[in-house]
Formats: sequence, structure tokens, C-alpha cells
Amino acid sequence: MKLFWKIFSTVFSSFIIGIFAISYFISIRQISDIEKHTLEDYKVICKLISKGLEIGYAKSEWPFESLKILSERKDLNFWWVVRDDGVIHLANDTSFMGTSAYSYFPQITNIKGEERVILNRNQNYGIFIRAFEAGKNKWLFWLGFSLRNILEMKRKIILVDTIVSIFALLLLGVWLYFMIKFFTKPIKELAIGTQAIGKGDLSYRVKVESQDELGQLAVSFNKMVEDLRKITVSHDELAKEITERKKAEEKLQQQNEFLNIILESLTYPFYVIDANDYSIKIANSAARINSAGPISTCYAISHKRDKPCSDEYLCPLEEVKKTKKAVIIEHIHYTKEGNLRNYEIHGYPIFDSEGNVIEMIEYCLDITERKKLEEELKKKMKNLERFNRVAVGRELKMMELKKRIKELEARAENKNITNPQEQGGDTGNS
Amino acid sequence: MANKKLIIVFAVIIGVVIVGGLFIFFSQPEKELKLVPLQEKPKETVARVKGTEVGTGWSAKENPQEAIKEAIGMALAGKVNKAPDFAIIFASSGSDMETILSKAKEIFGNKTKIYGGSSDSRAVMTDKGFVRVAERGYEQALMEGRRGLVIMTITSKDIFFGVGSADFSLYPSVQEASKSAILNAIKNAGKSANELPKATLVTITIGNEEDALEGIEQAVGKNILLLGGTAGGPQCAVLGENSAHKKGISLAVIYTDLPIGWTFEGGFDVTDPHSGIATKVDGQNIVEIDNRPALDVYDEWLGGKIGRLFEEGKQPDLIRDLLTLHPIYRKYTSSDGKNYFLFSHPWPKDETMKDRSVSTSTKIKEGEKIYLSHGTWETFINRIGNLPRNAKVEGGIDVNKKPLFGIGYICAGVLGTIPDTEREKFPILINYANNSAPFIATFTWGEQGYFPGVGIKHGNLLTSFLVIADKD
Repeated sequence: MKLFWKIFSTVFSSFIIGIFAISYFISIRQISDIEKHTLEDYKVICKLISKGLEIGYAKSEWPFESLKILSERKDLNFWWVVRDDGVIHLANDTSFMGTSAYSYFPQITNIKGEERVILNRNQNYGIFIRAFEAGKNKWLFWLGFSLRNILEMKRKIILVDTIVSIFALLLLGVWLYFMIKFFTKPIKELAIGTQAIGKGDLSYRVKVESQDELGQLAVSFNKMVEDLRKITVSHDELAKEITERKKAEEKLQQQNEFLNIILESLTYPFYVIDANDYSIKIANSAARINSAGPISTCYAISHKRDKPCSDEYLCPLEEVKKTKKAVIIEHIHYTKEGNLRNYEIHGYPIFDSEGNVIEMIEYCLDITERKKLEEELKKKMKNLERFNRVAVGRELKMMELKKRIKELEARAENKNITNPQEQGGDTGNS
Repeated sequence: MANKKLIIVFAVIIGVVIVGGLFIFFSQPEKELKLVPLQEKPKETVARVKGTEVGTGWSAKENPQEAIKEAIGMALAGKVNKAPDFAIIFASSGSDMETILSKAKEIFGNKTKIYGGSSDSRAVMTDKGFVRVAERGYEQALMEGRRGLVIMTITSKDIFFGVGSADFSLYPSVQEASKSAILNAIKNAGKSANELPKATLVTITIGNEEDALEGIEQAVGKNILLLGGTAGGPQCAVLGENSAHKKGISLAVIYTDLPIGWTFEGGFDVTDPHSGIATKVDGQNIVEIDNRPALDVYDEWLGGKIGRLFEEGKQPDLIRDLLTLHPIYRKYTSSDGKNYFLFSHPWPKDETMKDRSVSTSTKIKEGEKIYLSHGTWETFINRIGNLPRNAKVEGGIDVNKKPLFGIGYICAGVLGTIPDTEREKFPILINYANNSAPFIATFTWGEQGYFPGVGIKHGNLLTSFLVIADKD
């Protein structure tokens, strides 16, 4: 049920109960007053007529005109002038004259005192009886009146009160309808506002038409909406940023994955080494497979040392940091199995925004076989020299040998093709 | 949607409760007190005191023979004497008086002396009740055709009756006819002309009242107790010994040693300052008052009431009834200084008001001073109710004593002013004052009576009542 109808039905029900309760009490009061006044009227009539009869008896002139007026009154059932012997002397209906009054009302006996009233609500009648002096005797004036008049008045009162109550209720209902509508309008607007906001319309604003609590609530609501709008805008921007970041991260991830794939595709160790503490930040599988120990620092895994190379080998990182250029240095590293193998270490600097080397990319080419070949070549060269010196035709052989050397060199060059710019660079030893 | 349904159901429930409650409340039967009068009517009013037997009866039958038969049967019921000494018959105007008389004579035989005449078309009355006849009086009654009749029969060894009548057309003058009638009545009573009756009852046809009284005075003098009334109209008649007279007089003289009480009164308020001299008269019409058209003067006295009634289109009979409450009167002072007021009922002679004369049903002489008086119907009904009492007082009879009988003459104009609903009270009031003694009353178009020391007079709007009581 809507708030409007909740308030309306509650208040209107209260009004119905209240108005009908008030109407009931007013009706009771009015009816009581009317009955009282009516009886008082009859009493006065009875008294006046009795006086008139008393005077009339003395003057032998009955107040017929007054009595006729009584006869014509619809609210009066009868009037009787009853002699002391109970016989009706005068009556509105002459048929009753000369008959005994008490035979019509056997319950009325022993009338003492000046006045008596008998009410019979079942048959809707009442009788006022008043004694008056008739010479030496006491005669009675009986005034029979109908309570129908009171009953009709009662009905009229109840009808009028009911109609007035219904009319009042209708008016109150209409008034209540508009008042509640008026008072709940801001709340309704707030509800509409919340619905609109719920649907995302943060531009919605509630009209502020009063300075009361509801007005303040509307102001607060509008402020809240405005704040929400602002927060939502930031949130959107954040979301956008997050989205972008996610996209960037995804891209980065893709790049990382791509890089990892590339790195993992490399069959030789590949590292990214922190320039400050020599710690290895990235290492590919080849590096981890060939690592002599857990991946920690370059010097630990390659040289099983607890400090960077300085004396025995030229540290590529130091060189890169120093030269801020790529370096190729040969080192002998330990393998996982603890064997020593020759590696050609390629170091490439990574700079921060200020041009400082913060990291270094390093990959290590196992040149042990090359070294061996070089050693063999050296030995063969020595043997050739010795052959030249010793055997005929050494010249030809030498030529072949040279040719052979050139082929080897070509092969070596082919192996170094991945970093051709280095081929003409530093030639440090490792 | 559910809310709307709930509200509609709620509204319907409230509506049903309210409407249902009101319906139940308003459909409650209204019980009423219904009183049915018991048949405790006054005991038989037949008076049989020592030597006197009196009975009364009435009938409302249209057929005059059946009516008189029924009324006589009622009057004689339980009586020893089936042929009373004296019978008074009053029948409403328009009744076949001739047939009534002949039938009565047939029933009674020749011994019974009959006196009477027509009553006003609207009613006749006895102690047994008010016999309501026509609704409207005067000429309007002719249309209705209803009839009513009352009778009183008296047989007494202490009271002697004599009746006389005269058809005016058979005499050189009304005076002569009347003189003859009363002398015949005295003779009929077995008395000599020198023996004045204790009381005389008279019924005269309209327009000849003063002349008739003059004739009676010529015969028996002015100091005679005479009570009577003009036969009620519009079709008036009086009963003679052998036939009814449309223009005539019917008389009854009463000789007795029993106490007689009587009253002849108007009871109007005579303090109004308006008065004038009848400067021109024509029979029973006043043509001029103070040398001005009589109707103009009278209407002025009434503050233009007649003109207003005429403009309101009131029927002439209703105007006549209303003017009953404002009669004019003449004042007579007896030798002992007592004032008597003789009232006349004025009404416009011409219904169209072109003739500005005022009819009065009385002969007012030129030069007589006339005064304006006022009354109310309450005055009239009280006066009617007190008639026996006043009569008894006048006759020195104890007011608590039940007389042998009573005879009343009540002005029909007075009757007309009293509301219809109140008229049935007349007999009950009279019965109470008359101690339920039998009585008969007629409603007359003029009244005649005796002012001691002044004479017998004819007026209007008067009532008279005669009672005869037993000794002690």
C-alpha cells in the first residue's frame, strides 16, 4: 500500500470514528434536550390550561379557544377535563365526555399532589395530569401527548447528524486527500527521485517547496544526489582508468607472456638483474635449469660467490653501469652440475627516466665448445705451423687450413648473428 | 489496484453500515396510543318525577314519516303515557313539516298538543346529542338535502300546555294573527284570557318577528315571559295545530306552579366605543347610519373587515358567520335601572356590495341608537353550556338541582361561528349544567325574549333557555 493511502486510510478511519462518536454524543444530547424541553413545554401547557380551567370554572367560562388549539395540535393525543368522580367532563373528542378517565388508563390510580406525569415509551405516549380547583372540588386536567413527535425529532436529529457527519466526512476526506497529497508530494518526489537515480538519472532534482523537515530532506537529497553524481563521475573515470589499465595490463601481460615465451624460447640463460643489489628479477627457464643454486643474485648462481665479481672477472653490470652501454664479456660459470663452462655474457642497460641504469638485461651464450674449437684451432694452427715447417706442401695445406678457419669463422659469425651490432663492440674477456 | 479495491470495499462497508443502520432505525414501527371511547353514555334521561314524564328523541332519517316515527319512538321509550300532553318538534330547514306534523298527530292522537317549527339547516339538538345535519348554512344548505329532527314529549299533571298558531296570510296583519294565536293557545290550555301563562314559547317565520311580538303584546301585555326563536331557514316553517305554515306563528303557553327558570342573553362585549344613529331604515335593513351608507359606516367600525372578506372572495354565508362576532346592539333600560342589550346580526344586504344597506333580521327604528359589540366563539359555547345554570339562577332554582326539562333557542349565527369540532360539546355541556335533565333545542334565525320591565323583544345572536323544575 502506498504511503498516501496508508496515511489517508488511517487518518480517515480516525475521522470516521471520531466524527461518528461526536455525532452520537451530540445526538444523544440533542435528543435528551428535546425530550426535556418537550416535556417542559407540555408541563407548561398543562399548567397554563389548568389555570385557565380554574378561572374558567369560577367564571363558568371554559377556555374553549385554548382547548381547541390543543385539539388541533398533532402532537397531542387528547386533553380531558376530569371531574373529581373520574368522569371526563370536557374532552377534545366529545365521544369521551361522560365516560370514566380511569377506565382508559387503569394503571393510573391514586393521583395525589398537584401534578403527575406518566410516560409510556412502548406506545409512544405520555400524560401530564394536573389538578385544579373546581369550586370546592379538585378536578384534573389530563394532557395526553404523543412521544412520536420526540421520536420523529429523534429520527430527524439522527438523520441530520448522520448527513452532516457524512458531509463533514466527505469534506474532510477531500480536505485530507489534498492535504496528505500536499504533504506526501515531497516524499513522493523523493521516491520518484530515488527511482530515477536508481535508474541512473543523476541529473534528477527534487523540487524544494518548503522550509520544513521535508524541504530540508529534499535539499539533503539533492545534495546527496549531487555528491553521488560527483562520486559516480570519479568512479566512472576510475573505472575507465581501471579498464584502460586492465587493457594496458592485459597488453602488458600479453607482452609479458610474449616476452616470457620469447624468453622461455631462449635456450640460453636470460636474466634481468637489479643494478643496485645484483638480484635477479627475471630469469628464464634456461637460466633456472642451468642455475647452480636458487635464483638470487648473478654472482651467486654463476660463480657461487657471495659478492659480485671484481677481481677474477670483469663484472658486466659494473661495466654497463659504468659505460651505460651494452657489453659482452666472457665468464666461466658454474653449471647446475657444478661444471665450469665458458659463457659469453651480453649485458644491456635499462635506464630510468633520469638516465640512470637501474637494471640490466643479461643473457649468457655457452661458448665452451667454441672455446674448445678455438683451442683446437690454436693447437691445429700450431701443428700446421709445425707441419709447414715439417711437411712438403705445407703451403697448400695451410691454404686449406686457412680456408677451414674461414669456414669456422663464418660459422662463428653465424652464431653471433643475433647481436650483430656487438660483433664490432667490446671484446672483454669473461 | 489492490489498494483501490480495499478502499472501495471499505467505503462500501461504511456505506452499508450507515444506510443499514438508518434503515433499521427508520423502519421501526411507530406504536401509537389508540383510545376507543367506551359506551358509558349518560344514563337514561327520562324524567319521571312525581307527576311529570318527559322524553326526548331524534332522527336523521331523510324520510319525514320514518324520522318522526323514530324520534317519537325514542322519546316514548319506557314511558307510561304513549300520548303525551305536549310535544315540541323541531326539524331542520327543508324538512317536510307538513308530513312530520300529520305523522306525529297520527302517532300521538288528538290529545297531544304540538308546537314547533323549523330549525337551522345545520342542526337540532336534545340531551341525547347534537344532531348534525347540513355542513353549510343559509342558502348553501339547500344543496345538501340532509335532514334532522328532534322531539320532546311531556306528560304532566302539574304543567298545563296550550298551543296556538296562525298563518299570517289568513289574517289582515301579522299582529292580528299573532294575537289570535296566543289567545287560542291560552284557550287551548283551558285558561281564560285574563290568566297569563307562566311562560310562552314562540316560533315565528322570518321577517315578521317584531310585528308578531307586537300582536302578542297587544293580547297579553308586555310583561309576559316569552322565549322563542325565528324558524330556522333557509326554508322556514312553523307547526300549527293542523298544518305547517310557511309564514306564520306557532305558540305554546305553559301554566304551572312549578319553579320556572329562564335566560335570554347575548353575552357580547359591549365596551366598543363605536355607535351611531340609524337615520334611514327599510324594514329589517338599515340604509343609513348617521346619514351615511350603513355598510360604509359598519365597515369602518370594523376597520374594513367586510371589504377585505369580500375581496378575499369569501362566500356570503361565511361572511355572515364572521360578522356574527361583531353584532350591533340597542340598549334598553328597565324602570328599575337595569340595562338590557338587544343584539342584531348585520350583514351586507347585497352580496355584490353594490347596495350599501345592512340587513339585520331585526326592525331597527329610525332614530334608534346602535352600538358595536364584539364576541368570540368561546363566548358563545360557554354561553350555551351555561344556559341551564343561568336559567336556574334566574328562576331561583338550585343550580345543582335536576330540572324536569329544558327548552332552548340558540342563534344559528352563533352556531356558525363555533368550530365544527366543538359543536358536539353543546349537549354534553348543557347536560352537565342541567343535571342530565332532558332538553330540546333549536337553532333559530332570530330570537325573541323578555326583558323584565322593558317588554318582549326580537333580536339576533341571542340564546334563551327555559327550565321547569319540580318543587323541592
